[in-house]
Amino acid sequence: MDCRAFRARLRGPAADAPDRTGPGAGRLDEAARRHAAACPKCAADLRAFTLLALGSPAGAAPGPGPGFEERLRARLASEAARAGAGAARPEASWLDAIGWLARPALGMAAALVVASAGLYVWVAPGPSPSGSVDLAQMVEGDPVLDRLLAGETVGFLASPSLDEEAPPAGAAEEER
Amino acid sequence: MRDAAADPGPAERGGAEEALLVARAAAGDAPAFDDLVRRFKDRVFRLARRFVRSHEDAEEIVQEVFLKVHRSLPGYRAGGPFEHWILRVATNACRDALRRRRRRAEVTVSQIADNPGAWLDAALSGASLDAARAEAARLLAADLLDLLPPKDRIVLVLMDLEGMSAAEVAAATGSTRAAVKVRAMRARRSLRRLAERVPRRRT
Ligand SMILES: [Zn+2]
Repeated sequence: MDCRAFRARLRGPAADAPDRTGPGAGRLDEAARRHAAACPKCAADLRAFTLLALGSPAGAAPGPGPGFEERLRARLASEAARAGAGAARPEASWLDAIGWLARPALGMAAALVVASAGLYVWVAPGPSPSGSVDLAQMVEGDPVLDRLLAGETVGFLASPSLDEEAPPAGAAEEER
Repeated sequence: MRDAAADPGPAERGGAEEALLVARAAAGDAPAFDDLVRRFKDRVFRLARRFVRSHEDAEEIVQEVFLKVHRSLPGYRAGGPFEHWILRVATNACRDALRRRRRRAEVTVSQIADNPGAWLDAALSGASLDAARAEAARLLAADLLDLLPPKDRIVLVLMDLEGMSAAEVAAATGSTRAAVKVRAMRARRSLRRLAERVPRRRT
């Protein structure tokens, strides 16, 4: 078994069973175990993977417990009631007035943030002369980097400041 | 024998059915929304459970996710499978939960207590432990993982534990495949470093 086959064996959807104390080790066959014993790099990979699986258990329950949907319905109903009460209020309070005054200012602040984020993407000196955008294009679909992704030492890609990507634009869940 | 050209496959039929369901829920049809909740609650729960310490905390995240979905549905425009969109809401909720906890996290590697440290080292070395020690090791492992940037941890869990591809993770996090790959490389390196810093008690 080589390092690549070892890593393929290590990761994946069957990575850990909830009742297992040594998550990574449990899914390795004899050949994989022999490889890890002889290969310090894969042994380190196994140790790291085991830490991840141990600290991120899937839990024993397959889903939320009984009463989940009823609780959700109750919360939705109280949200709707609050929204309804807000809409039905005859007079706006002074707090609302402040809210309305503040809104254009908030809008301008938000526009500034968006504008400066865009500026940052364009002008920020990247960790390499080509900058992170070029790097992203380079990584896309590159089979060599696909293999690097599987755990090889990454050299020039290893800069810590690389991947603070911009927040997802126009994500519906970001509204409100 | 069915005519392949005239009869769409089960995947297409399922997709069309789901799109109809989502449209009805977005228009305020409560039974349709309930149906969406039933379809996706276990998937969202399974994801959330990876990042929190208790069943209850995971349930609270799932509640938040569906409240948010309910509020955002009227503005939802299908640009892919609904599951991608809901996973995106869910990964955002998990990221927020991780950020809140990270601010409170106080453990540092140098503060690892002797016994749990030894048990964690044993667990990382593949030894089996009794239930109490295994639980202590698990909690310490979770504390250590809190030291990772939330986005790194999400990518690691989705790819290495859930077995999702970079493209799937990109869809579920509103990122690009390239950005996910770069982040995964960095996150795995940080994780290796974290695991190496757990003091080794045995040889
Ligand atoms: Zn190896």
